[in-house]
Amino acid sequence: MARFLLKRLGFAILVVFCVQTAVFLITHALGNPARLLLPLSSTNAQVAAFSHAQGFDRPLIVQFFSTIAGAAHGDFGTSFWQQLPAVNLVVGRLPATGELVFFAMLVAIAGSVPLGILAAVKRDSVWDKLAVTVSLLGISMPAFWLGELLILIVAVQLGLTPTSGYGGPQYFVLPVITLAALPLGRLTQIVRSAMLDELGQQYVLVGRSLGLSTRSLIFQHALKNAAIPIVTLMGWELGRLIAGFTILVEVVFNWPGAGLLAVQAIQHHDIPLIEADVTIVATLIVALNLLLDVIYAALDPRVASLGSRRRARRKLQAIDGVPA
Amino acid sequence: MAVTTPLEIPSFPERPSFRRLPSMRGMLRGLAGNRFAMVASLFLLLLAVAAIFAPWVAPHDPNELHIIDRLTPPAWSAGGSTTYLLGTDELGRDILSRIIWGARTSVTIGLAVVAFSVVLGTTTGLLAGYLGGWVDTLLMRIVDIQFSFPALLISLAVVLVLGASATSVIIALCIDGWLVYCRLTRGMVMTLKHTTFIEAARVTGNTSRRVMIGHALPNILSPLITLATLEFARVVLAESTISFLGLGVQAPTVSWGLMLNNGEDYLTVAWWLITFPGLALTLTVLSANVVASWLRVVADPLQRAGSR
Amino acid sequence: MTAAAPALSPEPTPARAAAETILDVSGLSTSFETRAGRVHAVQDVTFSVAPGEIVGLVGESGSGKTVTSLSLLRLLPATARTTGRVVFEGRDVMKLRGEQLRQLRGGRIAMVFQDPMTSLDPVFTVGSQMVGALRAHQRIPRAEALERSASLLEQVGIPDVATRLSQYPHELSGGMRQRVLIAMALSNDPGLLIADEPTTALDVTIQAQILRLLKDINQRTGMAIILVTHDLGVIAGLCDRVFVMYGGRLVESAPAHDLFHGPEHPYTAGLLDSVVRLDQDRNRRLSVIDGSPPVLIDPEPCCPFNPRCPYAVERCREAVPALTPRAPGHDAACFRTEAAHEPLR
Repeated sequence: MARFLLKRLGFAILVVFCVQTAVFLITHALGNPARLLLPLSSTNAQVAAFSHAQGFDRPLIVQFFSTIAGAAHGDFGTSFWQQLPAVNLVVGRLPATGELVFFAMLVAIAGSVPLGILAAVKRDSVWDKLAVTVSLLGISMPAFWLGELLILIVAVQLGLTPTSGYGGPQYFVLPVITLAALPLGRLTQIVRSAMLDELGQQYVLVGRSLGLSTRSLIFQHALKNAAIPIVTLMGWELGRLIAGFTILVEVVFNWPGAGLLAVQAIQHHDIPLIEADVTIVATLIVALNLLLDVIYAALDPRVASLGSRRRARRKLQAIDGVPA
Repeated sequence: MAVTTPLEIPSFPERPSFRRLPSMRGMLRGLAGNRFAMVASLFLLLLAVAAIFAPWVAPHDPNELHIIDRLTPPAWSAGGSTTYLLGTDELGRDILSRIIWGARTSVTIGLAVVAFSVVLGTTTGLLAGYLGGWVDTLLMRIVDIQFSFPALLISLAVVLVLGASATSVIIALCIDGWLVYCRLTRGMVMTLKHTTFIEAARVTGNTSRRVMIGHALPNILSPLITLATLEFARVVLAESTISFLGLGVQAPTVSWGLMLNNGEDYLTVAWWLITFPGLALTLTVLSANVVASWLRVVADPLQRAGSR
Repeated sequence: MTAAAPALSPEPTPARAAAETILDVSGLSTSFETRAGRVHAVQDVTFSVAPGEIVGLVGESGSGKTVTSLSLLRLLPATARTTGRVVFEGRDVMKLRGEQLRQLRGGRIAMVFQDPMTSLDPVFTVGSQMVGALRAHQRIPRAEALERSASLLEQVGIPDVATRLSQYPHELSGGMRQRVLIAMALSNDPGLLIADEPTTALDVTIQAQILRLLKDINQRTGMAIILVTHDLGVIAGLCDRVFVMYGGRLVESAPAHDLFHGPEHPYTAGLLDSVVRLDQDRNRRLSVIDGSPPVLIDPEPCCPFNPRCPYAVERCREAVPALTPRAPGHDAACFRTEAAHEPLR
């Protein structure tokens, strides 16, 4: 178990390193960052002077190591745009993103688990059709459009909530619903398929032959087995929210989180801030994956090897061809 | 009381005579079966027609300004005009025409990214599966790492560096788009590698390379088409996302994401600016998803036999 | 050869007395709706089991033996339609509802399945699954249930029970898991055990052990057993009476000895001919039954075996032969042997 976690930890560090490298290569190797940062009208001399001042004229490898070394100490340099340490800016925005993600996942789980189970148990019923509809809509509606529609209908036409911004509970309603839609759709689908799959297993038939109650078979046995792919997917969905989808919701609702900051950083061509934001977000996702491995080991007694989650991933794909 | 007997050997080879019922059935078949998939396919066809024949089917030039008619509501609501069926935007451009031209952008970028990713992904996947060893390990590590990548942020950074344009969007989306195909192909090759006919080919001294490619590719075709359909939906969505953030396709090229971006400022006065492009986008993604699910059931003989 | 105390056995001689039955099945038919049509998996099956008796239900893949056994406890999925009467200890199983049915399952009738590898829930310990099976029927505290589980495991010959109880299924071998499943089936002292191919997935040596265990339990507790199998060897060693199924129908029913020495149905005869016997010339070619089992989708009203039967005549293609008595306790469904009345071997 300890070895297994140690291996996962090593992999996690490797991932963060790779993300850093990718961002570095994109920002430094694809073009001269000074050109991005300075106005288009800048002369070559101005660019050269700025490059020198920022150290962009050093060999790439030197720049790379100084960036990595800085990042390892939590130092990503000073934001060009805000003139503050980039790390502080990102960390300051994390709580708002965290709140949004937390409540969205809560809504998604609270909605999808009962609906998915109900759909699997009462196949082809109204519940099943509702589950299919919810998951299809959740998957297909772009978050920014759903957000705009909600603003249009709930905030503008009905006047029930503020249109955007950050504040009390009323400010949370629309962003949380918008962000929850996609994970709700995908989780409903996976809960339904995973439960259907488990309910068809031999041990359920054996349990029925032994006179176990339907309730115990569904909620104890099938659900605990289905929990393995479900929890895995929950982790992925959470990771996906952090990795990308909050960005759109934060932009649409002008939510002061790390996602909005990332877009602002990109719009301001603020390389240190971009690097800090992407690296910190990637670290969070990796930490989350690590946490998942622990939960996973607690759920499945067969977990003892590195391959266990890969096995679950394969199982997930077998169930529903979940695209990555 | 001997239990064993002179009759020793089972009399017939026994297969389970009663298999457990198929547990998985296409999510969509429950809802409306093939009729649903047919409507979705028709919509995608319509989209293709709009994309190909945009200059002929669009009633107006998408960038033609009719300042006098700016913010005209759709034809059926008060103040609407049949000249502009779905209304006009803040500069008096015809929404319907822009949606039709936007389809062209979405389809072009979607197909370009999918085509490039399929070629790169299948090639590397075949290589990884066939060669095994460190090539395989390296590729699979990349695939694993990609799971933890903040993909949208990376795409945005790429577009930023390359400069906002349709080409940049295509490049940015290709960077991680090929990995899924790589994983799929590699998985299929690994499975095939252990089938008897490949082993037989190897034992009899046939070039296994030829057998692998000859057999792996046809076997992988149907899951590949399904995946490509799903990926098309994802790419269309990603393109509009990047354009919505203002970092992707730039005017005068028309994009649904860009339309949604512009429309946001007029949310309180003109609902049609965001409703129709968003609807077009949602229906496209929905249709591709539906068709992919249907393909998955139809193309997989096991599932087809399994689901009644 | 066993350690069973005969005094414990309420029925020392397996009852030939047909008057007393624990299970009475008459006119049992089960069909499934499929896209290809209605599959008649079991048609008009009638048989009975006496208390303490071990009967064999034998047939090849798709003969309907497993569907028959699942129908007895109504364990088939909702797509199945079952008709007929199944009377167990005086109660009609077909009329039981919800809670009564649940009480019957694992209570008075228990079942053991073919594949021990997938029959246990992988994420619960053996102990907690056994406790669950006990407490589904008896209001006893968890600790007591655990003690009972331990003694049940000992009864089925599992050493080191304390360890086993805390282990997960994947830590046990196939034979061990089947023993656990048998122990779970026994946990509420059933009057009837339906064992559906209990040894098929196991190694030959383990097979013999499991069969011996079943026989022991039968001797010790007087529990009746329906042994569903395709293996005539298993039948010969264990069963008092045998029911042969073919194409969803019962084609022959006889005391085990009579069946092996004088089969009255051409299918049974073919079956016996295809078995390797140690007491025969080793150079003899094994005979096979040509052709393949019938498709059970909307079957014609004819003898299901006629396309493969060397004795088939016109009549066999026009009507379904009924089971008719050939000797005391020996019935067969065949027009030819009914008329000729001469043994097939």
